[in-house]
Amino acid sequence: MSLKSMENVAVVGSGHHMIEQKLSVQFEDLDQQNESYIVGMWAFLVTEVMFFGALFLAYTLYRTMYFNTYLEAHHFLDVKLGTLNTLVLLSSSLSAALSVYYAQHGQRIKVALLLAFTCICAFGFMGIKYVEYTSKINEGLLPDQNFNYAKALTVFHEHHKPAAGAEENPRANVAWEQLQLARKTNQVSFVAPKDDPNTAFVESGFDNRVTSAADATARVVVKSAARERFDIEAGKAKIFFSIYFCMTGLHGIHVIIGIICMTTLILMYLTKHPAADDYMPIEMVGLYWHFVDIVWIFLFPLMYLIS
Amino acid sequence: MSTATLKDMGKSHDKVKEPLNYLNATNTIKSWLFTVDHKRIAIMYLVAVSVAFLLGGLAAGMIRVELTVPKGQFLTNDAYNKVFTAHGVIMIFFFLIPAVPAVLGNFVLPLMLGARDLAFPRLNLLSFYVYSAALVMGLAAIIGGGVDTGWTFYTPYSSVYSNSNVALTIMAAFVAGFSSIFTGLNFIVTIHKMRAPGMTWFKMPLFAWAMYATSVIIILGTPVLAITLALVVVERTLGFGIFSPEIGGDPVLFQHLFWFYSHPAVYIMVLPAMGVINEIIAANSKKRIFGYEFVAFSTMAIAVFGFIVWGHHMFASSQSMYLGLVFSVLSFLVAVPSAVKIFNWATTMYKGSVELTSHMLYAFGFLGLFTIGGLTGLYLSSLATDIHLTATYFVVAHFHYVMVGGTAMGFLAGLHFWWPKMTGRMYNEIWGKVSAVLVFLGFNLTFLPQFVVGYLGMPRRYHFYPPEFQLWHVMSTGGAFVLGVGFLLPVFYLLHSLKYGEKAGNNPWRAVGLEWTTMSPPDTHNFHELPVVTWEAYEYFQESHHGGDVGPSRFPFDDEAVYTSSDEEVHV
Repeated sequence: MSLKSMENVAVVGSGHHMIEQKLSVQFEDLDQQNESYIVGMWAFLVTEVMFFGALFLAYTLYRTMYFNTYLEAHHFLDVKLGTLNTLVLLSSSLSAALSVYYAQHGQRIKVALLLAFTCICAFGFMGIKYVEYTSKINEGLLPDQNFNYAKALTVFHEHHKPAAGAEENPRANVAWEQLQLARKTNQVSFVAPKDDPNTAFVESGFDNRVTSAADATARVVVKSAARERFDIEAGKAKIFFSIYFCMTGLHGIHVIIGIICMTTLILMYLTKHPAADDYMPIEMVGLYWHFVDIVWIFLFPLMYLIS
Repeated sequence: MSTATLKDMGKSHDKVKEPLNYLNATNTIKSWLFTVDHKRIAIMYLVAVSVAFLLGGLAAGMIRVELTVPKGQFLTNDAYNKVFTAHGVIMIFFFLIPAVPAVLGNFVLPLMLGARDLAFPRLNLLSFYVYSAALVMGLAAIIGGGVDTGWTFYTPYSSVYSNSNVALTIMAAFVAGFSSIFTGLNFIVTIHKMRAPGMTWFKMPLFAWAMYATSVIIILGTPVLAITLALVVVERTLGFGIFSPEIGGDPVLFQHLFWFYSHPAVYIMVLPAMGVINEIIAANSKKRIFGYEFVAFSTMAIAVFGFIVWGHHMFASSQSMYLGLVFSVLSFLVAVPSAVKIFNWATTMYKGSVELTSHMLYAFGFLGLFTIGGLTGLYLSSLATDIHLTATYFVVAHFHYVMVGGTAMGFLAGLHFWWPKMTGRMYNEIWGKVSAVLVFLGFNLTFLPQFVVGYLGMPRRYHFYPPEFQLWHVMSTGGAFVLGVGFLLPVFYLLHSLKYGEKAGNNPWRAVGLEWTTMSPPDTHNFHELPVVTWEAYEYFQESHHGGDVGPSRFPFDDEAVYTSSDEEVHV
C-alpha cells in the first residue's frame, strides 16, 4: 500500500451538506487523525490549566495571608461590568458550541455566522475589559511604579460618602483609616541626614511634598507610624492588583488568541479554503474557547465577588 | 551483510548509488529548514544542542580555571557570577532538558512505535525554531552583559535588585519552555495514537515509556515555570508587586513555584536517559529487560513522585519544619523506583551475552555515576544532614552526578547506539571506547573531590575560598580537562564517520526493536509497509531455554530485516 498515492478522503454528512477531511501523510486513517487532534488538544488544555494554576496558587496564598486587603481592594472592581462580561462570554460559548455542531453537519453558512457572533462577543468582552482597565489606570491602581493607593482611596471615598447622619460607610477600611490618620498627624517624624547609616532608608513616592521640599542633604525621611501602616496596606493592595492584572491580562491574551483563530476560520470559510471542509479545526477552537470561558467563570467570582 | 560486501564497500562505496533515504532524498537548504520529517528535525536539534553543550562547557571550563587558586585567576567577582549563571542556564534549559527527548526521542520514537512520523510534524518543526529563538535570546543576554542571578533566578534579587540582563534571560527560558511543551505534547499524542498495530502499551520499548513519563512531566510542570518566570519579568520590568517582600510579597512563593517545575525537571532530564539505558542494556545483553513491567511502572512512579518532593529544595528557606519532614520522607520514596531500575538492569545483564561496545561502556558509566548521584541525594533529603550540606559543593557534586553522570552519559550512550541508524555509518569503535573511559575517569576526578570539599564546608557559587580547599579544587579542575577531552573526542570521530565510516547495515548491534527493521538511514516515511507487532519488547532468545540453566542469549531475527525497504539498491 503506497501511502502517497492513497486517496483518503472521507465524506461525512447527509443531503446537501458534505464535509470532507484530508488525511495527513503520517496517519493511517481519519479516525486516527481525528483522535490524535482531540488527544493533542486536551493535552494542550492540561498545560493551560497548569499555566493558570500557578496564578491561582499565588492568588490563594495571598488571599489567605491578606484576606482583609483583598476584601477592601476588590471594591475597586466594577461588579456590573464584570457580570456583563460574564454574560457576554457565556453567550459566546453557546455560539461556539453550536458552530462545532453545525461544522460536524457541514452547514457552512451557519458555522461562519455563529463564529462571527462568537468573535463579536469576544471583541465586546475585550472592549468592556478596556473600559475597566482604563478606569483602573486612571484611578492609579495599575500596580507599577505609579501605583497610588492613596489617590484611589480618596477618589473612591469621595464617591461613596455616607449621607449626612448615616453611619460610617461600611466600605471604610483599614487602609482608608490609616491614610486619614497619616494625613492628620505630622507626616514626617523627623528628617535624617541622607548619609546617616543608622537611619532607616524608607522613602516612597507616596507624598512628593516630603521628598521634594526636603533639602538635598536630608532626603531620607522616616515615616510616621500611621503612614508606615498605610504603606503596608498599600503594598498588600498592590499585590492584589498585580494578581488581578496578571490573571485577567493573561486571560485577555487568550481571548485575543481566540479572536485570531476564529477570524482565520471565518476567512477560510468565506474564501472557500479547502481546509475549511474539515470540521476538526472548528472543534479545536471550540474546545479552546470553552477553556477560556471556564477560566473566566473562576476569575469572576474570585476577583469581583469576594466576601 | 556478508564480509565480502563489507570489503567491497570500502573500495567502491563512492560509486554505488545509495538507496533513497531521509538524508539524501532532497539536498536543498530549504528542504532542511522547512522539513517536517522528525529525523531531520532531530539532526537539526542535535547540532543546536551540541552548540549549547559546547558553550555551556566553555563556561564550566572558565569556572574550573578560576577556582584553581583561592583568590581567583582572571575574572572579577561580578564576571564569575555571570559565568556560573551562564553555565547553569545554558546547560539546564538548552542542553539537559532537550538533549535526549528532542534529539534521540525525536529520531527513534516514531521508528520504535512503527509510525511514519510524530503526530504533529509541523508542531515539531515549530518546537525546533522556538528552541533556536530561545537559544539566540539566551546567548544575546549572556554575551550582551550577562546575568548574575544563578540559573534559579531567586526573587527578590532577580525581580528587583540585580542589575544584569535578567529579563531577557528569563524570557529565553520562558520561550525554551514552550519548545519542550510542544515536544512533550507531540510525544504524548504519538504514543497514545500512533503505535503500530499489535504494539500494546506493554509491548512498547521502555524508551517509549520513558518518553511518555517525561512528556507528562513536561506538560504538567513547564507551564508553571513559564508563568512563574513571566511574573518575575512583570515584577522586574513593570514594577508590579508579586514576590517582593518590600510590599508584603512572599519570595518563598517563587521558590515553591520554581521548584514545582524544576524538581520534576530533574526527571525530565534523567528519565529519557534511563530509557536509553534500557535499550542498550537489553540489546547488549541480548536479554529481555528483567521485570519489564516493574521498570515501566517505576518510570511512571518517578514521574508521579517527582511532583511531590519539590520542598526538599527549601529545607533551609524558612519552610515549615513539619512540611520539611513530609518532603523529606517523600524524597526518600523516589529512591525506590530508581533502585528498581538499577537492580533490574543489573539483573538483566546477569548471564546475558554482554558485549562491551562503546555505547555499553557509556551505559556502564551511567549505572555507576547515577547510582552515586542517587545515593548522595539521600544525604540531602535527610533534614539534619541537609542543614550542614545545603548550598555547598556537596550539592553541586550530587546534581552533577545525576545530570552529567546520568543525562549526559545517557545521551552519549544513546547517540552512539543509534548513530548507525541515524547516519548509516559506523564510527570508530576504539575511539568510542577511549572517549567513554575518559569521560568516566575525568568525571569522577572532577566531582568526587567536590563531595569532599563540600562536606568540609565550601559553599557553592563562591568565588574565593580558604587556601586549605585548594588541593580539592585543583584535582577537580584537572578532572574537568580530562572530561572535556572525553566530551570533545566524539565530535571528531562521529563527524569522521560520516564520510569514512563503514556502512552500518540495518541492524549493526543485532538488536530487537522496530527501529532496527528499517534501513539505515531510514526512508523519509520510515517504513515502506507499516509493521504489525506480534512479539514482546526485547524478545531475545535464551539458548538452553528448556534445559535447566539459562544459557547465553541471542538475537532472534534473521539478518535480513523484517520490514526493510524493498529497493533493489539496498544491497551494495
